[in-house]
Amino acid sequence: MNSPSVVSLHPSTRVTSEQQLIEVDHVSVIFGSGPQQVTALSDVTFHIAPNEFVSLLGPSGCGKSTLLRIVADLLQPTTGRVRIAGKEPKQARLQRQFGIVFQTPALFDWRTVRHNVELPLELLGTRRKECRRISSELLDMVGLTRFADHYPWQLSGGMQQRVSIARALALDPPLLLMDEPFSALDEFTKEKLQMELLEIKRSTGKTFLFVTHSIPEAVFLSDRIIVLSAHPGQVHSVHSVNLPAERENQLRETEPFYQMIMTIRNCFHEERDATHVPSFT
Amino acid sequence: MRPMFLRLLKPGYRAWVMIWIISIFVLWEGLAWMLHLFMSPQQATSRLPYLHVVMDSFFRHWNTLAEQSSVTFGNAAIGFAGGTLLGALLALLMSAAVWIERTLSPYVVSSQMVPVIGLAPIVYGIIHNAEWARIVMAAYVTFFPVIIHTLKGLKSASPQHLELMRAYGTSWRARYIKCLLPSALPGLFSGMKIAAPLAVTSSIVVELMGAPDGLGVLMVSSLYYGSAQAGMFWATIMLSMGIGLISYLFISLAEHWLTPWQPEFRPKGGE
Repeated sequence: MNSPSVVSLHPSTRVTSEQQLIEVDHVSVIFGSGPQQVTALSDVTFHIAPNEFVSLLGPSGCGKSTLLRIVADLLQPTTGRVRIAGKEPKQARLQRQFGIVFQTPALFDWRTVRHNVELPLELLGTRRKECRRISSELLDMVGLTRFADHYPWQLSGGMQQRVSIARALALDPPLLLMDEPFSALDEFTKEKLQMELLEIKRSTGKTFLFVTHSIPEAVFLSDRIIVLSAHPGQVHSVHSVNLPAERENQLRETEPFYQMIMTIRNCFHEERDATHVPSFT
Repeated sequence: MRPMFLRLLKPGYRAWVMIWIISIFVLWEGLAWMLHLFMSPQQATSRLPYLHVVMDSFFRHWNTLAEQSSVTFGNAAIGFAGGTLLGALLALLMSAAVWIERTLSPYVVSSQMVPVIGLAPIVYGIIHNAEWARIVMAAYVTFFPVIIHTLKGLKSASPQHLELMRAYGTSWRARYIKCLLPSALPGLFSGMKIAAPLAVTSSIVVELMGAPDGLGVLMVSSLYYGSAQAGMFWATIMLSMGIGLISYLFISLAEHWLTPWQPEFRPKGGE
């Protein structure tokens, strides 16, 4: 990618004028104190517009999950400022501005698939009938209507992760935070779920912040990719993915797709060559 | 899938159960017969009576045995229920804050250092009521395993589940009801399974110390008559074993019914 497109947003993804959905400004995280002090994140800044699909990409230990947890208000940054739709993360959390999907489906084994999806609604005191309507709709969306009354442990890993996505959508939040949701799945299931996720994005118009360590996955899904480098975790570069908005599986075999992967790959090699120090300690 | 012991009733297992019962019978009778070869009948009987003699006293004195064991079992059950409740509540309290756990756990642990056989006369001396002494002792041996296992269960709630609860801005009450308590149930049941037979035993220990009724009293009195009542003595031992076993099975059934999601209860092929 050439440098101008690196900074600016992809034109097609700019929906509202200046309003950013996520603003992360100069965020640093330091764990521990004294000689054991570790800087997990150092001065990270990025903004995400509504309706954008943005991936945080980087090697293990670069703090990408930490960053996601800060946006989700599961962790406080040491310094810096985070806003979601102009609000503090805590406020955004209490107003259910985002849904979360973890690497493990984190379903409740004692609840059926349907009741897992309905849990966030139940906690809000939503009427039973309304819960049922929404869960039916979502289960239909992820293609699990037939399994509504099954228990999570009766489903495959891919199906479980679908339930988890449906649950994250239950409160209809504008933002979805996903922490390596497909990394534990096999290659075939992974590709299928990536397609389904894009379909969900198309039909719901939600914004995605997606953490991954897979370059092809990030390229296939994202409008923009934020590459993080490790020790300390900081933004290495930001790349707009100039691939067609409608993405089919065949895209994975095309030249532009390879090109994009190469561009991102070079980021990591460049970093290693520059420092001559292994990036793991 | 049903609990293990129910599978024993299935046609495929019945034959094995029969073989098992018959071989125990044969082995026991054989051993007793050998003792009778070398010793006087009295000596041999006081060491190991014939199984058919034990069975004979078991059925002959069935009414007495049933009456007395129901007293023992009743008291043990009340104490067990109380101890379980106390243990579960304490575990909940201890899970609420680390300082509560740190404050309480030394007392909880040291309470278990007192041997039951030493504590029984003390409790009996203080309460002076055979019923209550049995109930208190049964509760006393119950609450410890229940606390330990329930607390472990409460802590077994997955971090992701807790983070989800946090992300939903859940109240602490909803967090307990929707997440922590269901996670703790399997732990509660393992504690109860360990405690149930113990509750019966401790109730019998109190009776040995001089209660007016119960299975323990029958044990002491039949011991007093030596070989003449050896069959009766063994019958009481087997009955107390049986009661302990039944209470264990009863808890297992309840566990199976209330926590069907546990991995070992899942139907096969549900991958």
